[in-house]
Amino acid sequence: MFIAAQLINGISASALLLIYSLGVVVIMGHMNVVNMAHGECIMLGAYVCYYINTVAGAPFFVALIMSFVVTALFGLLIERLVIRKLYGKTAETLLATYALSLIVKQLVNLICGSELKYIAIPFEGHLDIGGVTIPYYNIFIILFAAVILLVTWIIFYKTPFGTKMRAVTSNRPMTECLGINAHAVDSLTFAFGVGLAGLAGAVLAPIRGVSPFMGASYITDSFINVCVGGLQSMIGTTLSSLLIGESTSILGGFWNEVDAKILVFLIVVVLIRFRPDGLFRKEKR
Amino acid sequence: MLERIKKMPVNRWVDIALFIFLLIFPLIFNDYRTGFMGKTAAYMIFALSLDLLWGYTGLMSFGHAALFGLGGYIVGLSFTIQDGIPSFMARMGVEELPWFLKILENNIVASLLGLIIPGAFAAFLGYFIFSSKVSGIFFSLITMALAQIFETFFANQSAYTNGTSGLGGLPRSFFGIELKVKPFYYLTIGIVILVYLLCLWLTNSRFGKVLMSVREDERRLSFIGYNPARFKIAVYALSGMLAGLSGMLFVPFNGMISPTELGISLSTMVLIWIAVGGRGNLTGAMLGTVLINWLQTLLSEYSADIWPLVLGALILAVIFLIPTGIIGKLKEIQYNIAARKTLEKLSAKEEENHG
Amino acid sequence: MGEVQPLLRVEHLSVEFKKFKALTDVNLTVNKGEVRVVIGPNGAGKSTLMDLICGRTKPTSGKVFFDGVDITGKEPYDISAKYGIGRKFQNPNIFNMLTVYENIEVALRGYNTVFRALAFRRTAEVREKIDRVLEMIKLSEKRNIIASSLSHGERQWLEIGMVIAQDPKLIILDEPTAGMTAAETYKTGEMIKELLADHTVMVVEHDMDFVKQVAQTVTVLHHGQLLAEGTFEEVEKDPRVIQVYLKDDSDEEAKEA
Repeated sequence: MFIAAQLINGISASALLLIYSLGVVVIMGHMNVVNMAHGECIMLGAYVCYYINTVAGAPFFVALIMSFVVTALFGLLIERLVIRKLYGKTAETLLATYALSLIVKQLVNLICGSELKYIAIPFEGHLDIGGVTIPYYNIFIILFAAVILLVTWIIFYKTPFGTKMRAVTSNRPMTECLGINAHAVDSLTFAFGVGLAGLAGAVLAPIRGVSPFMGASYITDSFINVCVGGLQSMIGTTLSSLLIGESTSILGGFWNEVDAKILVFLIVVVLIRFRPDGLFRKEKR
Repeated sequence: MLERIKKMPVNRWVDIALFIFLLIFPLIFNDYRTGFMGKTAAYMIFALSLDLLWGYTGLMSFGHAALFGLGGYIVGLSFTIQDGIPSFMARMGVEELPWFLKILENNIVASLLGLIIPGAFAAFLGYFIFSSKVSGIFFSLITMALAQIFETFFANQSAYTNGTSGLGGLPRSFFGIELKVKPFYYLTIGIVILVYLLCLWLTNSRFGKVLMSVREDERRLSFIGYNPARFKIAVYALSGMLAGLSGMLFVPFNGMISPTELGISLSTMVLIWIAVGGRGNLTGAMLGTVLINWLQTLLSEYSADIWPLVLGALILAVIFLIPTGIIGKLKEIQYNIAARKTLEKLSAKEEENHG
Repeated sequence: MGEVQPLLRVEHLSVEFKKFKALTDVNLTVNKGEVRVVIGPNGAGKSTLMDLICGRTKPTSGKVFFDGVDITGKEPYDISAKYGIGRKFQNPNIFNMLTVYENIEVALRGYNTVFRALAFRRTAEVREKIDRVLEMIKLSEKRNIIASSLSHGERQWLEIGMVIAQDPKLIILDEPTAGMTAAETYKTGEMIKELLADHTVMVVEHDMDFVKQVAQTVTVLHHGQLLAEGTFEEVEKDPRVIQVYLKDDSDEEAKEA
């Protein structure tokens, strides 16, 4: 019974991990940009959700959509102003996006205040299955993860835009010869990745609260998760989210959660060392 | 001799100016400021250690603070247990010092371990990472993850580390002798200069040239008979030792050490110091450290809120305007002048031959 | 003429990349002091053969013996430092951010381990040796120039200089005159001739005038297999070789038509 509860907790933890890693798959995996401001993009999404849902009183779903839209626009802006000039320069990109994270964090801190803000959980109550309680919101998170995974996958692999995007990231000079506007594709892809981070922020907000400094705790987790998944692969990242989420949850059940996390992290670092291309083979194209 | 002085790279002049500035600093400013500058001097060693790794060898560690903090915690713990079991440990139910703390009671052993443990850890990690095909961004991500692990681990071992609040009230002690600010400051500056000379010798030696070749093209290097992995492990181990040393010097000035000193934010800060000053020439690392830390205290006294914005803007300005950093730019200018002279001389000679 | 001693022996060497047979059962022996030219149409496996010899690629089957020692599948740095095979690549492969002098210095043989690199001193002997190399590749006066600002031809020479500095027993030159102007090609030819005098050399080259000039033995590869071997005159008359080269020509003509 105890194991069953941990397993189910693990699934929602995995789903959450997947939600905030998906943007990294797009930006780090496909565009080769390590966005150190990823955490702040999550934080922006959470703030948008807070202002629309809690302050303005609009329904949670509206807030979700708006978080995506607003953060995606922010992504578009920083791609145009900063990222575009730094493609291919790893060190510069890391430092520039870190600078952005400092600026965004501090601006939000000055404008909105540093105190933790709360959003009411949109789906109160919980399901009881033979003694194991599952909050409705956790079920929502799992379904939501499945939906955005599916939508992202369809956009990438089943639409003309996705084809162009993958063409640009795999062979830039060639696509320019073919008359694809690589700049526009880059901007939109980056904006989409940042928008996904915003969505993650909105989903996280009701359970973790909202503060200017919330972003830091997600960045390493999502980077490492995507590495284990094989950088470009959405299926791989889904599997690695499950692996990391479940093992942390189960180990944490027997032990304390922080130690479990440290142990899982160490194991994952060892895994990356032996399988730098990711634990799971790339999905077929 | 005069010719040699004339030919000296521009950054060596900056080095000399910087050291003179550091040496006269306590004569101009009060003890509080001197203590701050001492802390900065410890950071300079930290920045030099990472410059060897990132600037020269191209290995961008995002978790170098883990090694800095390791050195810091080792002396911090050593100071803490000098008068028996400290109160925070007693509160957590520790009645007897475990063996790994017992050995830290001896100042000399603790200081040695503060060098050896970070160095050995870096060597082990280097062996682990560089003997595989893992490279580039994966090195950055693995080290980032390790810094995170270290920070979490030290915050979580409350019984021995006092958790997130860290070890406080640490004395300005040198092998058990408590010193006033100024003597300790000069001691630290002496060590900075020694470390600088060591780095200067290393980077000018063939070893340094090989490191620069690793940065540029590892595969090419293996075809002229070098095993790049060995060089990467060696420089990482050395860099780890120096990082540990800087942590050990930092603690007495700072008076405390907490898990943030092991984490990603300090690891990133040191990268920024080096990037602003200019990487791969030692001077940039030292100058960047002094400039940014100085600016930070001045601005924080004026308004704590404005600093992150200024720092962010500064980083972006450097990346877009002087991507090679302050010293990198100076060196470029000096080189361009010298190269133009050589080429002019050559073409003049050719004309003579033809005429 | 002294006794002929084999330096490099390649036995039944084959390599496959994802079921594509890049090289099939190649046998070849290069003797000490010999100048061997490897020719063949594009995709014949010339560069692959060189990659296998210097450890960049591992063979699927077969062996490479150098100086009587089996070096099959050894790491490139061992093959270079321990056994003494130096290679010049097709594209100039130098360290762009180092100066000309430093490039040669790094390539200098005998200081390849961490400890030796630390103990290295610029002694008079070392300086003299570097000066000699710089003289040979005609870059003495540009010694303090950073390599990235050299011309294409000068970069090729610098790489030749790096190979010389390694003091190898066998020098592999992969299309040393590719992409050069006529004047540069001439200068390079002079440099290589100087090298040929006291080294064992394997050259991959397209320029037939050059081949005729330097080669003692010519090896012809085609579709990853050894097609013919012999003096330039013998190979030139070999009907199989003529067919391969003619066929390629006719292919190209057909495409143009």
